[in-house]
Amino acid sequence: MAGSDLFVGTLDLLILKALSAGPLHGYAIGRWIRESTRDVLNVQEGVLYPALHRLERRELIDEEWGVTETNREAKFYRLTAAGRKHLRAELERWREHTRAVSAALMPGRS
Amino acid sequence: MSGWFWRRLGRSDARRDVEQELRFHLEMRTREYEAQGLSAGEARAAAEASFGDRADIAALCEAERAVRVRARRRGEVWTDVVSEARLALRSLWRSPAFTAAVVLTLGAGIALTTAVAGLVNAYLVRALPYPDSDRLVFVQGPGSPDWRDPPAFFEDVIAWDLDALSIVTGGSPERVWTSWVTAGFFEALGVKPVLGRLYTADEAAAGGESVAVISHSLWQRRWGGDRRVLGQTFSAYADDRPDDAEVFTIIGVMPPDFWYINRFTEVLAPLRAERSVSIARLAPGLTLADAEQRLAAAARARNPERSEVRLVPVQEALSRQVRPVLLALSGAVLLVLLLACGNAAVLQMVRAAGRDREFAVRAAIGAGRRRLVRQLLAEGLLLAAGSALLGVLLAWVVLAGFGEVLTRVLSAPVPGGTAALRIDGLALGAAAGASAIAALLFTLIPLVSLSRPDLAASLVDGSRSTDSRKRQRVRSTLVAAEVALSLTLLIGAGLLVRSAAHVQRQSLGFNERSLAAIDISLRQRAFGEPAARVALFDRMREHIEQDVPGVRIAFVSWAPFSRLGTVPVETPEQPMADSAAANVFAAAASAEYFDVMGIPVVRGRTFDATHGLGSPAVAIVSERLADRLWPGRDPVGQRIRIPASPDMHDTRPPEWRTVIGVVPEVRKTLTEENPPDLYYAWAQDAPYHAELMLRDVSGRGRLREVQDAIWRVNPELPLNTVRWIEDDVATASLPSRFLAGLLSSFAIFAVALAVLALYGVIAYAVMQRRRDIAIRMALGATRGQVIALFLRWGGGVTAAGVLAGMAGGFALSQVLRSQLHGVSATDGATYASVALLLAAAALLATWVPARRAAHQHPMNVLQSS
Repeated sequence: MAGSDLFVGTLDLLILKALSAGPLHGYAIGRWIRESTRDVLNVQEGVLYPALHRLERRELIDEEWGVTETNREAKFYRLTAAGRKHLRAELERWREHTRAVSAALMPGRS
Repeated sequence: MSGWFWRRLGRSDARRDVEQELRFHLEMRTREYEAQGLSAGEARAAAEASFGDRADIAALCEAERAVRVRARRRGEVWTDVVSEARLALRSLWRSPAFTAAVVLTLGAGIALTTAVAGLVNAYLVRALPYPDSDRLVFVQGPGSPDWRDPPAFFEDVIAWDLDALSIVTGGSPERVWTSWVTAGFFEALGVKPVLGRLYTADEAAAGGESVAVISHSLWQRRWGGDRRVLGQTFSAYADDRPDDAEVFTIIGVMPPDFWYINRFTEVLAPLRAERSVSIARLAPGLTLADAEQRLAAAARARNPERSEVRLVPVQEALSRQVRPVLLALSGAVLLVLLLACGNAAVLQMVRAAGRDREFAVRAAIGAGRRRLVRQLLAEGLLLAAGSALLGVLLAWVVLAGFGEVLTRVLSAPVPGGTAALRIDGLALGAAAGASAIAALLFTLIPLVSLSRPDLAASLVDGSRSTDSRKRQRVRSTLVAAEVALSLTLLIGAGLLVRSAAHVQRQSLGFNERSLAAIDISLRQRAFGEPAARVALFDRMREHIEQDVPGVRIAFVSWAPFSRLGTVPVETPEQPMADSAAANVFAAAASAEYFDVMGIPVVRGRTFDATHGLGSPAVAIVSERLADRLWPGRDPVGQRIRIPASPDMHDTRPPEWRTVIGVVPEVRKTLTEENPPDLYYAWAQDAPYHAELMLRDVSGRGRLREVQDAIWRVNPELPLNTVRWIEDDVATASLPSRFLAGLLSSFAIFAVALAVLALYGVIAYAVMQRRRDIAIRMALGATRGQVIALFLRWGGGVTAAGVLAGMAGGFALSQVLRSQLHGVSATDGATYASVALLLAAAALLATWVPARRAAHQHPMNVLQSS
C-alpha cells in the first residue's frame, strides 16, 4: 500500500508528528509531510487517508469538523492523549532503531 | 436484524464523510497546482495523479470508519442511558419533597395492588394443590351415584360423611370433627402423610377394628407430636353410632398444611356405609354438561324421581364465598392505584410547569425535543421503579405478616395453606404493570403541555406565566378525576362503615358480657332414655352450684352464635303444607335460661319445675313469631308444633305445644337473615346436646372448676368446646368491621391524595399569577374578589368530580351489595354526607392558597418582580 520508499509504520509516525503541533485537516497533514520530508518520500497522497482512519479507529487521533482559514468546512484531526503517548514511545523506538541500523550500515560514523 | 441496521447506518455515514474529505483534498491540491501556474484542467489531472486510485482509497477509508462507527454507537447507547439516569437522579434529588410524595403515594398504591393480586391469585386463580384439580367436581343432588358403583367417566371418586367422635381414652375427653372417607380421598387429592401411611381401599372395606389417620394438629395436641403414635389405639363414640365405643388404630398423620375440603376434620377413618359420590375427577375431555347429562340419565334409570344431579368445579365452589369480597377489594385497590398515578401526574405536571425555564434553556443550548422527552422518560422510569420497589416490599410485608389475619377475616382458608399467600408471577406482574402505567403517565402528561412555542415564550418572558390553556385543561381534568375517584371510594367506605356500625350496634336481645358456654354431647347408650339425660343434667347443676358458688347456670340445646339451623312450624290454622309457614330457630331451654341470658319475658311466663317429662308440652315464642303466626291476637294459649324434635336422634312423635310466654327476639348470627325463635321446655324435651351457659364466670380458672365439677359427675364427657359468647360476637363482626376499616383507609388515603392535588394546583396557580393578582388589586379588586376567582375554579372542578364520583359510587355499591347489612346500596344519607365532606375538604384546599394570594401586598409583589 505504501510507496516503495516508505518503511512500514513510518507514515503513521509522520501523521502523529504532524498533529503534535495542533489540529490539522488531511490536506494540511499531507502538505506538512511533503514539505518536511522535502518531497523525498514519494508517496501517493491518497494513502494518507486510510492511515488517518486507521489511527482514528485505534483512538490515537480524534476528528472534528471545523472551518479552514479559507472559510471552508473540513475535517480536522487532533492527537488524543493516547496518541500523544504513542507518539512519544514510537519516537523513542525510532531513534533506537535508526541508531542501530545506522551503526550497522555505516560503522565508524557515529 | 439490529446488527444489519447499525451496519447500514454506519456505512452510509462513513461514505458521505469520506467522500467529502477526499473531495476537499483534491480541490485544495488542484488549487495548489493552479497557483504553480498550471491551467485548471492540468491542475486537476495532476492532483488526481498524485492522489492515487480514489475509489480504492475511499473503500479502504470507509471500511475503517464503519468499524469505528459501529463500535462507538454501541458504546454510546449505554453511556447515554447511564448519563440520562444520572441526570434524572440529580434532578429528582433536587426536589426531595416531590420525589418523596410521589414514591410514597405511588408505592402505597402499588403495594396494595400487589398484595391484592397475591390474594386473588391464591384464592381464585392458582390451581388447587391437588393433581389435575381442574377436573375435580362436586357431585350434588339426589342423582349422585353410590361411591361403590361409579360411572366409567369418573376417574377417581371421593365419598364422605361428616361426623363427630368423642375420644374418651388418654387425657380429658374430647369431641372432634371426623370424616368417614373412602380411600379414594387420599388418592384423588394426592395426600402424602407426614408420618405413617394412609389406608387402602382393601383396608377400608375390611370389617372389624377401624384404622384412622389423624390431623397434624390433633397429633400435636393430644399426642404431643410423639412419633410413637403409630399403632396406638383410642376409643371413641361416634355421633352417628353412639351406642358403643369404637376402637381406632392410628396408622398415619396428615401433613400440617393439607387443605381439607372440610378444614375442621381431625380424624379420617374409612367409610363403609352406602354413600353417594361427593367429589369426582372427570375423565379428560369431558365437559361438565356432558357428564351432567350422562349422570342424570343413569340416575333416571335407577329412580326417575331422584335424578337431579349437578356438577360444580371444586375450585369454583370453594371460592364462591370469597369471590365477591375479593372482587370488591380488587376494584377498590385499582381505584386507589389510579388515584396515586393521577396524583403523581398532577404533581409532575405542576413541577414541569415550574421547569419551563430549565427546559427552555436546555432547548436553546441544543437539546432537541427528543432529548427533553428522554429526560422526562428517565425521571418517570426512575420514580416508577423506586415506587415499584417500595410497593413490592410493602406488599411482601403485608402478605407475610397479615396472611393469617386476612384468611381469618375472609373466613376462608387459602388453598395450599397460608404459605400460598405470596408474591408470585401474577402479583409481580401487577406491580410491573402498575408502575409501567405510572411511568407512562409521568412522561406523557407533562409532554402534553410541552410544545415549542411555550418554550420560546418562557425563555423570553422569564418568570411570567406561560400557563397555556391546554395545560390548564389537562390539570382541571386530572384533578376532577381524582375528586371523582376518591368520592367513589368514600361512598363505598361510607356504606360499609354504616353497615359495620349496624352489625355492631344491633341489639343482640341478650347480654353477652361475661357469658360463657360449654358444649356437652350425650351420645352414649347410657343416656338413651330421656329420663337419664334429664337426671344427668340435674346432677351437673347441683355439683356446679355446690362446687363453684356465685356462678349462675342454665342449659340450652343451641345457644346464639353456635349454629343457625331452622325448622318449619305449624299451627292448627296454618298446617305445614302451607307455604307461608314460618321457619324458626328452635331450642330447648331450661327454666333459668331467660334470666341467665338477660332476656326479659314480655308476656306470659317462663318455664318452671312443673314442666317436667310427661307433662303437657309448652313453648315460648319470640315477639316476631307471635306477630307472624297470630297477628292481633294473644299468643299465650295458642298451640304450635314442629315436625319433630330438631335433635335427629329423637324419635318421639311431634306433639302440640301450648304457648305460655313471649320473649324478645335474639340474634343468632350478626350478618345473616335471622329466623324467629321458638323455645320448648328443657325437661320435657331432654335433648342429647346441651350448651351449659355460665354467667359471671371470670377467667379460665373458674371455667376449669366448672369443667372439673362436670367430670366429677361423669368423667367421659368431652368438654373441649368452651367459648366466650362475647368473643364469638366479636369474631362474627370481624369481617364487616375489617372490610369497612380497609375501605375506609383506602378512601381516606384517596381523599388525601385528591385534596393534595387540588391544593398543589391552586397553590401553583396562585404563584404563577402573583403579578396578575397584584395588578388587579392595585386597580381596586377586593380580597374577596381575588379569593372568589380561585374558589370559582376549585368549585367547578370539585362539582364536576363530585357528579362523576356519585355515579362511580353507585357502581361500586352494586358490587358491594352482598356485604351491606342494614343499609341500602343507594342510601341517600351516606351519599350526601360523604359528598359534602369531600366538597368541604376540596374548598378548604382551594381557600387556603387563595387567601394567601389575596393577603399579599400588591406593591411588594410588583416591586419585587
